[in-house]
Amino acid sequence: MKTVIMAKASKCLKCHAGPREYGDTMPHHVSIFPVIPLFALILLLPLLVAWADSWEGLREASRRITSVEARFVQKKTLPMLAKPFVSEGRFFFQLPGQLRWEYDRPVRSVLIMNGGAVKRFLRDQGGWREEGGASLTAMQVVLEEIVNWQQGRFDLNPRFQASLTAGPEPRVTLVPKEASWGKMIRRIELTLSREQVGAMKGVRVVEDERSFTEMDFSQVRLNRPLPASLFEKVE
Amino acid sequence: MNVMPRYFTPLLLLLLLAVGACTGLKPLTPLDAARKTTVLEGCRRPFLPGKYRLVHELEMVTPGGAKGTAIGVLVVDPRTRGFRTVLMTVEGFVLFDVEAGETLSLHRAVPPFDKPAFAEGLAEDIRLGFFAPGGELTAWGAGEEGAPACRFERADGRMVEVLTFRDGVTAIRLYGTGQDLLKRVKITPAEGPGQAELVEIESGGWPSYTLRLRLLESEALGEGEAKGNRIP
Repeated sequence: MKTVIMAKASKCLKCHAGPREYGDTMPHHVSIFPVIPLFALILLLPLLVAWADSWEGLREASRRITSVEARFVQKKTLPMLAKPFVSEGRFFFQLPGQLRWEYDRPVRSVLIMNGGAVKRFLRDQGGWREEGGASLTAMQVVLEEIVNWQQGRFDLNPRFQASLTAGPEPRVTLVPKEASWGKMIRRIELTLSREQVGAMKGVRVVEDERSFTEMDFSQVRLNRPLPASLFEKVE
Repeated sequence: MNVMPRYFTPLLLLLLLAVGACTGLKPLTPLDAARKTTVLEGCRRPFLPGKYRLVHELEMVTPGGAKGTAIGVLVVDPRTRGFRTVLMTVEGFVLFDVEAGETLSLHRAVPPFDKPAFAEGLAEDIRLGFFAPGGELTAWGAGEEGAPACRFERADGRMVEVLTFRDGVTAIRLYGTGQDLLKRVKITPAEGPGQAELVEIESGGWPSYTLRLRLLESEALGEGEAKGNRIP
């Protein structure tokens, strides 16, 4: 009997030959804990690999997203510019359709969509002021489209033909169906994060091969509670 | 009922006189002839010396007081008096793209910027605010607040007046053939060296508007890039 026990103990030590001190100092049952994240990883693996490889995967992953917050760097490239014109800011999204698109520099601007209504605020010497104008109407269309993207509904807009390219950098490409739209935008490329399920890495809006806007997201945080005031007030 | 015109006629005359006094060209006070070169140099100094690329935050104020903001990219060549400008939203969507050489070529115009009058008006504003006035010098001397002033008559019969104030601010005024004030430009210089920090253009035509251009980036373009008539 004693020998058996010893034999068991000896076998157990061999199992943990790597981090020997664990086998020597910790109770045997503790050694199961490193297995839990591994098990979780195995369960999540199909999602991690495949979430951005099919429309179903995108929709499924997006269903788990309730909020997004991220920083972004926007680079505008034009043939007229020797180097891209760079802007920086922050982006917030909250289900069902609240959005805040905020620029910190070089021009301070906040675009808020809440309940379908879009407001734009600009900061000047006198403080924040609300702005109207034709460009705001155009931005309403853009913001509604972004809300669709955030919910994985890339193929919802009938004006665009959506295609999905799987690979190390999965990408959704939206091409306008109508010639009138094609004159303004040649295509929109949405690069998805392979590492962060449901997150977008970047957006590229191509007007023509020499004129495009690139937006790279960083510090992306998902599903954190966001204060309602972010979508109600400018400051 | 016949009394009304009797009261209104002098009132109308008074109003017309007042408007004329505000907008018409007043004669300049003569200055010592020895100062002519200095005054003329001063009148040309606020304008771009060569080819430049400028990026502005552009604020447009319409008659009702509504404001709209855009980013303006401008490549200007004073030698050819040609330019290309792009107006885009802060988010990078191009609303308007026009190139001006001998003629005006519209590359893109999203409504309401697709009216020909808008492109023509903007071209006039850019030429007025960034290019030294062309045409013949018709008068020089001291103008408003004693500021050195120059007046140039353009080929189209319009008059451009440039006033350089002591604080470095330059005022440019465009008058019509009937000496009616059409546009005013105020150029505020940068605190250090470099291009003007703020250019404000007020247009008195219909519809009237004000443009405020706050400089974000500027870059002098080399001779190589300035070659050729076409602006990249």
